[in-house]
Amino acid sequence: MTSLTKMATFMDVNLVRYLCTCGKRLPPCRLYLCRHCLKLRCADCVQHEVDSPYCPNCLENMPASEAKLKKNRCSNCFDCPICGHTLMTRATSQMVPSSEDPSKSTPKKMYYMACSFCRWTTRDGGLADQSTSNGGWKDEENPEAKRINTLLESYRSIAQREKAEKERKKYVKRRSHAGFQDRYGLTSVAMKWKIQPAMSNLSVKETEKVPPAPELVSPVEDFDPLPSEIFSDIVQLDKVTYLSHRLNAPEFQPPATKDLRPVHKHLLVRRSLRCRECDHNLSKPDFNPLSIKFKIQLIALNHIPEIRIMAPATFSVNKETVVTFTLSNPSVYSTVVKLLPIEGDTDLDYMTAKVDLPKSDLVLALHDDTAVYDDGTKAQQEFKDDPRVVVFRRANKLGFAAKVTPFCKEGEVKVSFMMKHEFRNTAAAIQSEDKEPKLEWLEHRIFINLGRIQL
Amino acid sequence: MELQDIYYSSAEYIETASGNKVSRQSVLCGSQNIVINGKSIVMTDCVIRGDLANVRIGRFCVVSKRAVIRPAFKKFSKGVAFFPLHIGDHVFIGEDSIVNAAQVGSFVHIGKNCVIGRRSVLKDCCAIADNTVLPPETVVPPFTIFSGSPGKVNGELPECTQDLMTDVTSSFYQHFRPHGKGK
Amino acid sequence: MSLFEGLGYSNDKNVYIIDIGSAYTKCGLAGETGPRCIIPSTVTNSRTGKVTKIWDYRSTAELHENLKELLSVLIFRYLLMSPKDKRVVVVESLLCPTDFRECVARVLFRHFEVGCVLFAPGHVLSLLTLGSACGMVMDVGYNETLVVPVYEGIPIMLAWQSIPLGGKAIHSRIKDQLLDGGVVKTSQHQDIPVASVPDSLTEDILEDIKVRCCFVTEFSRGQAIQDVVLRGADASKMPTPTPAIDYPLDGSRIVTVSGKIREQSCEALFELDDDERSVAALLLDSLMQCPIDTRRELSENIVVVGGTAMLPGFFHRLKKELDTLAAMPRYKQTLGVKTFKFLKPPAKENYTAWLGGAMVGALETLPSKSLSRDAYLQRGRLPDWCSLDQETWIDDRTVQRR
Repeated sequence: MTSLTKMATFMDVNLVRYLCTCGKRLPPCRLYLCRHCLKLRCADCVQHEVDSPYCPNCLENMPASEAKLKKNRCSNCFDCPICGHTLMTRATSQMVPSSEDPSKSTPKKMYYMACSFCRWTTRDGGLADQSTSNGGWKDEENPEAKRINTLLESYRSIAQREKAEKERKKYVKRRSHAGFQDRYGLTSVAMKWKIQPAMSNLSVKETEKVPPAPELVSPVEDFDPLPSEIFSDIVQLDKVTYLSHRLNAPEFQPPATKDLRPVHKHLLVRRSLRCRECDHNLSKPDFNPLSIKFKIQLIALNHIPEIRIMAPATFSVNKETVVTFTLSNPSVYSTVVKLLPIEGDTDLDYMTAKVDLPKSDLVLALHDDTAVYDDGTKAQQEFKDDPRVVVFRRANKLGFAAKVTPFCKEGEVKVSFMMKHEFRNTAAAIQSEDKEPKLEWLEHRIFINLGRIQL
Repeated sequence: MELQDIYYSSAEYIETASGNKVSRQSVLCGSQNIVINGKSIVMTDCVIRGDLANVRIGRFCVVSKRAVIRPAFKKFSKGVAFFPLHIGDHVFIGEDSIVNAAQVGSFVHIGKNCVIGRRSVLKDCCAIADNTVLPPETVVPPFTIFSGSPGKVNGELPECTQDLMTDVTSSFYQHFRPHGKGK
Repeated sequence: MSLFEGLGYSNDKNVYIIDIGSAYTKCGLAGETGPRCIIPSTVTNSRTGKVTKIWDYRSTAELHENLKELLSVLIFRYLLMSPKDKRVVVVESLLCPTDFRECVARVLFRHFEVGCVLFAPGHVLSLLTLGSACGMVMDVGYNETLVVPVYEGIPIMLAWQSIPLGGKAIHSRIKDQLLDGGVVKTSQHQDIPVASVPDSLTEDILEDIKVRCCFVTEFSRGQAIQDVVLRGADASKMPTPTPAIDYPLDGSRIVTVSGKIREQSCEALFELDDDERSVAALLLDSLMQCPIDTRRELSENIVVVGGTAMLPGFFHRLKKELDTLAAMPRYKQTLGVKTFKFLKPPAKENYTAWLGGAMVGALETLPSKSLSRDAYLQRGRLPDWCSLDQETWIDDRTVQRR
């Protein structure tokens, strides 16, 4: 996101912000327009869903069920355990005794993995070279896995029994115990430990019907003392792993670098967004991770006219300055925009300046992709513009002038107003098969930060 | 805010028929192998090594000052071969960056002072933050932001990236204007 | 593609297990033998690059935003499964502040729309990994060490003991010792004192020094060191220090971590303070509060969890300290136990509680014990062991269970 804001600082997207339905103010490039509720939504107030995992190196899609099995890791790509860069397979040839004649040796291609950034190789980790170029690198198994699984199995059988009993009890008529327990004040005590008894039911000693419990771990009385070398040997710091290296393999956490193993590369996902209220998708990326197209893409930038500041201006308190704004129309229909001041007392503390908006409606031409190649100025003839209001007009863009009078002595000059515009809902149109999409008026609250007051 | 005009002295830049604005102070080796599709800007002190292999740059690209574009090589048993370097449309390359990639997609933003390792592949709509070092043969998937050294995934780009990049690079080109003669 | 998730192999893979510790967050799926990731409990502001710890919050609103960010990272970078209608087990400490739990519940239910959440105490879960129902569980964490005895699956609440000694105390001890007399070799000058560059000792560097250079020294040496440092014995009694390590701070500066620092930093855990408490004394104090008939069983089933317990030499020292302290007059008469036995869980100490949560999450009885989304939205608050308000309890039917 920092890179986008750096890029965006060329244009400084954060100066003009629209009000989202959840109350946050965001630039239109970060907002989405729900076609069905006709409201603005931001990334925070929509539901994110995981679309499809893919490996960032081989850019292969992985079905979600396979990803679950493989613990969200790619089976072919590995990361260097030290620096995290992708490992490259390199080939060497080794002399091995040939199968026909044991006395002669033939060259055989053996493969090992190496990191091109920090120069770690699988040979440093003590792994032997493999004879196949992909695969063959075995994963280590957690030595405790067996014990954990037997424990889990016994708990599962207890839990199943408990669940079956509960189901049975539901259908068996119960005498009401309430009065009985209350007499001894047991109800309140029992209720206090509502959550705790949940754990205690998993005690292996409870019922006799349980299959023989797994052997309990025998307690240890004494521990090995520190190795005496720790007091005399000089530690080579580069042979000791960092905490981050250890946490990359949580089940093993090797303290020495010679025990580090290559880590399977973690998958990435593309997200699809869904409106919480009407449950329709706002953004759905393509299945192929390489593609930048979207199946559904409802960015506010593509549907709502965008206001931008044309050029920075200097302000002084109580002096009227003319500021030019540009208004651009992204839709394929021409749009009428009305700019209105804020009614009532809502949220007045944002504003530090008074703005004199153009009273008349502004008509915007439609967005034409071919206009990029066109240098002509024929657009001017179609619209009759008041030259005091409309400064220029080019393709689907319009520049209008507004007078801004700051009434604060210092700080930033901020204005806020309402923008009402026509919106033709192309989504509903397709469904109802009408020729003309329905015309609706949408209203947005706009917040603009014009810069600091010059003292 | 709209981009403000950036002026250059018309003596310093050559404007070609297809609309490319190339600085006279940049070093274009092997210019017959360099293809710039149109409406791109190559600023002062850039180095484009077309003598090593073909370099193709798309439309509306901006190569900032002191950037180095250098095709990558691959070692074979019989010597060394250079990969042709393809850069897509609407790419912004920041100042002082060194691009050794094998392929750069469209709508990519590369920050200042980056080092893109050799034979890296940058797919469309990705971003490389300032001061990143991408090790050799890194693959940058779409809509990711890489940063740090070695470069790792550090963020995600929003869906509107394509439109934003198109807008910024086109505006940049439009506002990159010559001073009148005599200035 | 939520279609595929419905056709999954086994249902238990749809349960998230999250343990938000003070220093590290462990996160993974139920039924697995280890967490998918162990990441620092911090959020990075994407615009400023500033890193803030989750537990350092000044207002609930700030915590809400940070938790949203952290859980987003966990769900969309590591777990890679849509959160909607999933079941979640949150492993927490028994002393977790109410506003933190409420905030976690709010973020999970309202923002991520999960199906149901179970808040489970980490101490009880750690015992689950052993198959035993009784044990003295000591969690040696970052901010504090908390001892809770658990008998028959129920924590003995009147006997819990805690002391603010943990990873953080070791970090500040290292920092004090380095600022006191440490030297930094730079590429230009030699040997500038560390005190002139105090900002270079960031929390990350201190943690790294602790992990890679420090260790818990032996009991006899430890006592000798404490004699010299605390009780003012003759400095010549100090045992010969271990070799120093040159620790690179960054590309051009190297700080010398002397043998003294390596050995003595972890003494912070075992020094008896003014109230005669230390990490080892904590266990004994807790035992003292337990009913006398449970003490034998508890002292023979001690379980130690928590990242700080992974320091080399910790267990050996702990055992010796326990034996020595138990022989002191303060405990000898009233304690009633002499032997201390430890249980080793099948997991590294820093994710043992998580593993217990993973086991609970894999059981079919999970939904009946968790708080469902509808129930939460109806009640608006979480049930808590310390709350006597009847309306927030989970479910009336489970009263009849015993």
